[in-house]
Amino acid sequence: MDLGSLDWLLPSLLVATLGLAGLLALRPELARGRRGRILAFFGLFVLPVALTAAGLSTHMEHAKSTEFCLSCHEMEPYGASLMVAEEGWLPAGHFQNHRVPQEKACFACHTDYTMFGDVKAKLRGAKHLWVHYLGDVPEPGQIALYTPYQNRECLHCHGGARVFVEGMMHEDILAELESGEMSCLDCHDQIHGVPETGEMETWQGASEIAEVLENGGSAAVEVSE
Amino acid sequence: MSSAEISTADTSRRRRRLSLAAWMIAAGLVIELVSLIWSHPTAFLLFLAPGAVLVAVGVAAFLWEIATNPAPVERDEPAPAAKAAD
Repeated sequence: MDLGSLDWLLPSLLVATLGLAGLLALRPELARGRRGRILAFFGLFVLPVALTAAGLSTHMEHAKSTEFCLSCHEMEPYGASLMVAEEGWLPAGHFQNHRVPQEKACFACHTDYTMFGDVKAKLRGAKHLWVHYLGDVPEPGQIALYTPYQNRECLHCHGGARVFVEGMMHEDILAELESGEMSCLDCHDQIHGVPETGEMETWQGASEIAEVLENGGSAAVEVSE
Repeated sequence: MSSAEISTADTSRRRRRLSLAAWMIAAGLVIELVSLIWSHPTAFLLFLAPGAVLVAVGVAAFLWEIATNPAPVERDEPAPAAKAAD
């Protein structure tokens, strides 16, 4: 646990509140009197509610991490597509060239860039868990998005970027891309390429990145030739 | 049953309910703590249910108890005048 960050604060406050709630559970007579009532109000209302909200926020933030998404074995071949040696491979090109934050690579492309996009993404994640435990998990190559991929997600980063708008391929079709009349995937139709990625050569920097991501940090890897 | 016996029974019931609410909150907090230490998608579900659900039910039970059965406020220390009268 890094004491420099405040990661230790929430568990510590939870333990303290747990002690207070436990004390009131064992000795409810402590809640008599003015001071006792104030103690009970904090121990059984204010602190548990505040800490549950803080815990939810922590979980929501952690659920955006690449490590979190790839911790389910169904996602392993999709994680492998980030690490293939072929730089032209769409996810690999984005991941290895830091076009998406490496510690939030899955989330960066698979959230909805709308007001409640994060919440919708988490609800989809909860549905994944439901299927994982209680449903029929499709074969790796058969896993598909619930709804067609929106250009909005690509244009969140690429839209307005000089290299994109002045690119000879995009210049003529910008209006169609922005209106959704044409999908980015009409041309960029090779995405994760599962299950072929399992047989492809892995990029040399992959092991170092995996190690850094496991520790929850951002990776800056020097690839030895 | 005398009024003193009724009052004692009420106090006992109030303590039992308060204790139950506190146990539920404590159990919910233990689950939330474990889920925060464990880094896995299942931990997120564990946090929501049963963790947050137990805390919510416990808090609701506590609030219901203090709202529906407001106990007479007992002073933490006897008032100086009362001490003098003794």
